[in-house]
Amino acid sequence: MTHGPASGTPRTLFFRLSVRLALVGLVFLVVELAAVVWMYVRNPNELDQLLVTAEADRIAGDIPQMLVDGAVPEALRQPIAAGTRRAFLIHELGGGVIARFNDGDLKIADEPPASFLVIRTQRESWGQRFLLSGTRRVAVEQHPFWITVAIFGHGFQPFVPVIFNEIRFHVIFPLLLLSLMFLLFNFSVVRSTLRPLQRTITAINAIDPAQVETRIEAEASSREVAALVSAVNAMLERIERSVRALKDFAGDAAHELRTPLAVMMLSIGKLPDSPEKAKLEVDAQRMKRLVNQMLDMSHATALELDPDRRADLAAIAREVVTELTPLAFARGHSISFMDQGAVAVHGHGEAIGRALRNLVENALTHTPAGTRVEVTVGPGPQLDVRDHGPGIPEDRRTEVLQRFRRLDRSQPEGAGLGLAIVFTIMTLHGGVVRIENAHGAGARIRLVFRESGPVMRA
Amino acid sequence: MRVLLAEDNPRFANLIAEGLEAEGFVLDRFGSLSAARESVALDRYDLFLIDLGMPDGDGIDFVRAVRRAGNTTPILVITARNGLGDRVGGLDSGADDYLVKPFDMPELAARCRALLRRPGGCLGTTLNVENLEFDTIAREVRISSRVIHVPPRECDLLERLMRRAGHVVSKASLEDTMYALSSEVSPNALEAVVSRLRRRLAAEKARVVLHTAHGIGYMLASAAQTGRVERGAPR
Repeated sequence: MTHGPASGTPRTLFFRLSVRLALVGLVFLVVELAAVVWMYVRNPNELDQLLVTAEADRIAGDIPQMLVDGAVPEALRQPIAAGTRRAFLIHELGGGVIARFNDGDLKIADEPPASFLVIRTQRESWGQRFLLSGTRRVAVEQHPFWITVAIFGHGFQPFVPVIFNEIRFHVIFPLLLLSLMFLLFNFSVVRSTLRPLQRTITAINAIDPAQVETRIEAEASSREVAALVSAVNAMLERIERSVRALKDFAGDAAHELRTPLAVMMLSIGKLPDSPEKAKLEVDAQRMKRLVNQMLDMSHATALELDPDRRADLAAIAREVVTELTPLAFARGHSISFMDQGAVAVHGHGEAIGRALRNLVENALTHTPAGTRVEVTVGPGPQLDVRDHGPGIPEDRRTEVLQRFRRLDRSQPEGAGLGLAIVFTIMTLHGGVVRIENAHGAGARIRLVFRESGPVMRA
Repeated sequence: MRVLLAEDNPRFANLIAEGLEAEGFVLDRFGSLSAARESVALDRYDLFLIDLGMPDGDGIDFVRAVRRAGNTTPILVITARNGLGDRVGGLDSGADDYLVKPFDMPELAARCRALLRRPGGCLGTTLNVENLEFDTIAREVRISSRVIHVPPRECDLLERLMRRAGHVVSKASLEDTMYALSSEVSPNALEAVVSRLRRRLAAEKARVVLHTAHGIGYMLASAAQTGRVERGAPR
């Protein structure tokens, strides 16, 4: 079985339906033609009448001309049916002859119709030969005329134009009309049927990839579209589950790593002091930070904000600095904290604390010993960590906010998650991360929140 | 000093037990909370070390049950959880402190000693950091076993800093303890006491450093730790 061309756009539903309807029309045409032909073959008298009527109608068309000229026009000398001879005679009311045409020895007796109402057709046959004669009453410019026609011919061929005419008027014309209606119907049905589908497609396209919990509203109008919507929703459900599983995985894995890592650290601690032990301790500390960052990232991604929750930036920063000061001293750094009038913000205090913690840890990691790390809160809704290290080049400031990106890949410490965690938490809070070069030297990273009023302090 | 350890990972439990026994503690190990619960009812301990993730239940429930029974033994919780909100949950249940895995032995030992030194705790009344010792009853300071004269204000400051050695003690809390009774405290009073104490410790060759965390407070630490590879701050 072959399918449509793989490349190029597929045909529209309207086109495909039209093609099918046209096929139906074609079958209808063939059946109807067969029916018409069969009907006339079965009933030759019909054809006789039709041929006589056709001749009479044609002659009637030229009556006004003949009334003026008193002569038969040249065109009228030829009969409709090829291979026949034809004579005619026209009477007017009162029995007077208007015009007469004899074809050789084929003549019509000049006797007015027996009754002015009469319409007759008569056939005489000799084998294949036949002589038809008939009278028709016609009205030209509201005057009645009687046209008597005699047609002499043989075989079936003389009737072909008549049959063709019949087919034209009774088969092809209605069929054309029907096809046109089919097309209009098809167009409107396809349009109205596809409209809910179109709306559904728009709704699917509008889904934000970050919002995996989004579902589409079902259209009540048709069961088929409702089925599509529920299928799409079921698929979204599966996607959501796998996205969540993926998100949870990093967190679960990091969580599960903690006990073995603790075992490892305690085992290293038992080793006799040596340069190797010192190296192992450094490695274990790095792994610990990496595991913590993976968990932070996983928690930050899964975090949902309670809109009523408020966070006191000064208290958070003070706590984080207090916690990290021993680390700073251990690494030979000095650290300072300054409150320049911070305000409360809407947000998750612990999450903000994690963000700040990552910034400070980054600063402690990426700056030389002996330098100072300054944490400032305020003025207003912002946190600020300034270091005296090499700084972050302007063209890489967006990049460092992404996961697993590090400025200096040769530096062994860190997985490049710190700023990504900060960025994720700040994005969740509707805030921004500003990376600047500090006056003098070093980096200055600011977390700017949306304001939520003055801070209440005890 | 009898310590009850509830930990289901046998290797981890071994390491903790060996480490703490080397520090002079006596450990009873339990691999399940139900076994630990029976022993709590029968014996007296000076400290509970509880891992929260136990096979037969949540360590938090154990902590709550202990506290409901009126038992005030210090509890140090060991946990692999540090999700947002986990910390508050752990301390609210009645635990005195918590330690997130992974940690190293000196950290654990220091936390245990800090809990045992609390009022009512069983550990002796002498605080020590390196060659510096402080007798909290006699209010006597010794450096390398030599008694040093230290004025009362500096004594109070030293005690507070030594109880939290290795951690930052906030300025506000130092001022609260040292000047609780005096009506007027000049803004620089604390700084003056700190610098006097710092000079005194240096002159007497104490192997400790009194760090200033600008805008936060002060920290007393072993001189050997400073500038060395990180010890890992508690998380």
